Amino acid sequence: MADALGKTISGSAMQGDISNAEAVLMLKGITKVFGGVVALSDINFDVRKGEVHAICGENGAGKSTLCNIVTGIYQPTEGEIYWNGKQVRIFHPSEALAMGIAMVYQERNLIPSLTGAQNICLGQESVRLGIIDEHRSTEMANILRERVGAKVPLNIPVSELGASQRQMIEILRALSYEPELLILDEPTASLDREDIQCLFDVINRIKKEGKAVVFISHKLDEVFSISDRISVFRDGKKISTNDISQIDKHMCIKQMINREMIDQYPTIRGCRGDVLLEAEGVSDGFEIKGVTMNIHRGEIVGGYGLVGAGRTEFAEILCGLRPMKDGGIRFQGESLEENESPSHRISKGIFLIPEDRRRKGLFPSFSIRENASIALLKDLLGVLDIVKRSEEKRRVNDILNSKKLRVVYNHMEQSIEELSGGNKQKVIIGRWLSMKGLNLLIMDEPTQGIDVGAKREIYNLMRELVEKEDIGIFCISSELPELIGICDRIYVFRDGTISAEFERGEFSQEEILACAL
Amino acid sequence: MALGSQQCNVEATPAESKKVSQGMNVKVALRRYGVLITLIVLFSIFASLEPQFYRTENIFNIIRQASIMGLLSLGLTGIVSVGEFDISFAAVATFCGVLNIVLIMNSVNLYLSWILSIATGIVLAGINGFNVVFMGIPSFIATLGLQAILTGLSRFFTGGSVLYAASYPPGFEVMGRAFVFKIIPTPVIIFVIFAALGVIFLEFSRSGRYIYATGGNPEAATHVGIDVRKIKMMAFLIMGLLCGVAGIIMASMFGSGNPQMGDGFLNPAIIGCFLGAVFLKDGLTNSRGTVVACLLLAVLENGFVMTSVPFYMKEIVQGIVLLVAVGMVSVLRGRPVQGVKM
Repeated sequence: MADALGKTISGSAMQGDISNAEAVLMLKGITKVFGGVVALSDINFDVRKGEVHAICGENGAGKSTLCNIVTGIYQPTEGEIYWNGKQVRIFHPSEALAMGIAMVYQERNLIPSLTGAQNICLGQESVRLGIIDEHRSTEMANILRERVGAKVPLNIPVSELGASQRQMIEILRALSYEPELLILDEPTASLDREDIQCLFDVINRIKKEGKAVVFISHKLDEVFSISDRISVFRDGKKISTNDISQIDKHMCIKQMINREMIDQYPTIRGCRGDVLLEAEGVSDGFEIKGVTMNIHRGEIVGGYGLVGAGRTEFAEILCGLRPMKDGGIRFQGESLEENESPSHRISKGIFLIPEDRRRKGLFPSFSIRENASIALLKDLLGVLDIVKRSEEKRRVNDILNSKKLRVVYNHMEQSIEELSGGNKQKVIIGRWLSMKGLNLLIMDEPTQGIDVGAKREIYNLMRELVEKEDIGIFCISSELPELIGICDRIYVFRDGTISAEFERGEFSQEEILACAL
Repeated sequence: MALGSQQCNVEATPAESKKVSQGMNVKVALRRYGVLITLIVLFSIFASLEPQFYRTENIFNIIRQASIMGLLSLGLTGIVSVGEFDISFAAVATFCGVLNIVLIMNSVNLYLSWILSIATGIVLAGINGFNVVFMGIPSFIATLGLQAILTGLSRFFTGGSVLYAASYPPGFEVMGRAFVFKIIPTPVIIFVIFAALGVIFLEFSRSGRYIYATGGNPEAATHVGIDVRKIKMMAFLIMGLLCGVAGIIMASMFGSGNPQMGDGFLNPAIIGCFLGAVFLKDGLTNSRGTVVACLLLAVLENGFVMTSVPFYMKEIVQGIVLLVAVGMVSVLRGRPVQGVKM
């Protein structure tokens, strides 16, 4: 036993760590593969008692996947998990909870109609003769609140609380399990400054109790003010783990960015034409707080920003999917009427290829043919309202086999679900390309979940469209290298506004990312 | 528990693109044509048991039995296809039928009474559509409410009993009791016309495609410029038209205003709609499936009468057929079949 311990200590000492013996959680060589896509590759990671360990990384760097493995939602494809020095396998969140791992998720998991106390005690109520002892439950929750030093009211329904108070209830609920390790996934996303300070006080208090905290965030200011150690993740790999004193913000950003610019982007011949769209102080009263930007014909304009910065919401305003409250949009020199329907905007040639294909783009019960032709049925009508089937087939055939797209498929009556992600996306793009009157193409995360080859094809297609067809493209992406590779200009979104604009000559990953954080 | 196991976002694995040969394999054929095969098998069994069964008159009789159920079931198919539900259609049809009799008793012109009854059906369905689409009442609840109101109103108009007019105008029997060429019952003609229109509308027209798109993925439908609310409203209004037609057929067929005349069609029409969902389409309601399924239900009903099977067996077997058919398709495709969101 002592021998083994000695080995661990000496082994880890070589890596520059103080000791792994005090590590509550240790991951060794964790790899997770989703249907051929490597989400995490060979991750070594540990959390010690009484420390706050921050995980930083861009969207899709693998932070959430890692947490989902620790909490038993996913099983690692390879690798080992050690809990207090013992190797464990965690098959279900309830097992993780029983062991002492609690997580506060990005999405709210509270039951709105129940009070704070009821939510905190949910699943562990004290019961007498089958009836919940409300009094004792409330007392338990109150004691917990006092210990932590939170100020949130516990006796009113959660639905009446503000976002940050609800967040606090979530944290209390996680703490009610007396976890040894608390994982916080973007806990400050919906908090204002005061509440963030309050949250940090709570975290510090938990820390003093000797508990470990994993703090996931891409807000570096916060990370540096609360953490003891920082691990940077990128593309499913851990880049580094450092004590807070050994790293600064600048280094952190550098590590978060993918340095390699793979030669997969087309060459760009700038050919900016007339101004196509001008947005002036556009806001919706919620997520969008005054966006001013313009898009010219013949250029690809990028929209960069973190998730929740308002990029998708702004695109939805442009397409008539979300009402605009303030500001104005001029399109081809004319003011767009407020609150036009999506079909009006489509008739003006503003087409959207949405993010989240499965939810917003695909008709899973439809065949390839029906998916490809849904937007252009208007052009295919015969007598009455009947769709000319042969004409439809001809057009769909043209779309699927066009040189630009080259969809790989068996036959067009096949279910769309049988295609790969890249080919599904091509069908959705083709849906719009075959329509007449395209002026502005808005592409929201156009290469999400697509393999490298198909990505390259889509980039080429986008450049070809702006350069030969003289349209404008607004491309939203969370992948900065992608935007730098294909855009003429990039707007950076932050908190529902534009925080910066970059011309092609001045693109720099560090600067753009710094404007988004 | 508290750790939100509900948010296990299991990676969606798209069905692996299997290179199945173009030829039909037995499993797929069974899945797609099971309802039709059952229909043929049942028909043969009854025909071998009872020679009267396959006489021309009886075959038309079967279709006549399928007609009212079929009209209502087709309307329901449209509504389920946009992702909603309607429990009130039998009550709407009854109300239209009763109204037809009341109008005739008050010496309203026969043709005008038909038009008014059908228009009433459309207006009532419009109320359903308004409640669902604009008020945001879940469709099951909205239509349940209207069903209760209309059941009461039908009783009010009939005074709780069955209404008979002193005399019926010439032509009154045309909708329900007359024959074309002395052998084809008029409800059969009406049903065949509406079934053909229904299939053309749902499967071949743009509006039909939009109906399926709305039910399949309302959010994606909105993104391609489809006005989802309009499409849902349209589905309800079509149901109303069919309820009105079914109502005047019932009035004519029974020659009276019975406040319960539509009740017996409620269950079979719903069963027809969902049983039809496993014909051709793997669990998606569709007009062709609905027609075939309604014929199957009518064959069962008629066959049981002809072969003197006890009366209560009809409902039992209808239920069994529905559960077995949908369950079998669900197992064969390895995924649950579509349900109604209520």
